[in-house]
Amino acid sequence: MMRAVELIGCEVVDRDGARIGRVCDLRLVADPHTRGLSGYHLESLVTRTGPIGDRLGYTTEHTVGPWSSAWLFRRFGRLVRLVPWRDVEAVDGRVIRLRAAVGVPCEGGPRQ
Amino acid sequence: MTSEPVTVRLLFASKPVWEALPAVRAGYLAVRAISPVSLRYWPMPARGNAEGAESATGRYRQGGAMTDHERDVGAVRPFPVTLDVDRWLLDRPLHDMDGVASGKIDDLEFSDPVAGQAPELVAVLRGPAAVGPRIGGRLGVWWTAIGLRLQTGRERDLVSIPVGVVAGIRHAAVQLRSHRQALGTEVIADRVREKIAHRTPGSG
Repeated sequence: MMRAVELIGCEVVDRDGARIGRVCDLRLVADPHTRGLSGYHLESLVTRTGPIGDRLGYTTEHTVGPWSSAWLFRRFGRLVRLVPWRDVEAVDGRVIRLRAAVGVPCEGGPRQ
Repeated sequence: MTSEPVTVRLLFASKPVWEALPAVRAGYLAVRAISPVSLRYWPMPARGNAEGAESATGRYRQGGAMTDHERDVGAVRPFPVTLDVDRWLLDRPLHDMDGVASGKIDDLEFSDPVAGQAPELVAVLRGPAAVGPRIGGRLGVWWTAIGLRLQTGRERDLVSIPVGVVAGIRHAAVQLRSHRQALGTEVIADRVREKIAHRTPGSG
């Protein structure tokens, strides 16, 4: 069995060894007809490169805040990337190696 | 003429000032809308009485009825199809089927990754043995050790709650379909009650 704590905080590197970021969250996806938490699977890793990233919640789609702060932290949020689990080659301790070159920017999929 | 001055009426009236001067309310709302300061620091001027009768709390206190929307808020809602665990699951309180608090979600357990298949969520975990690794370092090891000493030898494993027992979200807590006694989520609380609280003089 694998635990979430074994993934969150891990360093993510691509196939060339270039650092992509650190795992800050996990994104799960389920079938539309699932009940409760049954049927959820790990769809992607949410990684960030900066110390702030989306920690303050301003990259979530439902967040409403003062426009100045929201603008500032959305720029921090650009450092957040989604790494699909299918691109993961191996988990070596605290390092996750990918078989792909780079992750997908999180702007295409706002935080849920 | 016995009419009192306008200023006296504004100072001692039971109604808010903006009811007497709508332009004041409009100006306040305009400044509130463009301010960079968070809106929660700008209270919304209520219409009607000044005791907040428009809010749900104010209406309940005055014997008002609950609207359909407010009733629905108390229902068990399903999780979204796509969810981020840090926002939706980790550190969320757990409530059993009677609504009694049963700890928080400290970690998640997935099936072993198999080539070509994404790991499936199998269980939610709670207890010191789940929190310790999240804290990390010496403090995490210490936290885990203290928690394990408080548990009985038979139950030294993590408290693992299968995902089939989880019903959904209710009042920002994760609602379970079982009693907490059946899930074993109260091992440490029972142990502290048995070994410490009941032995304290005056505990009855």
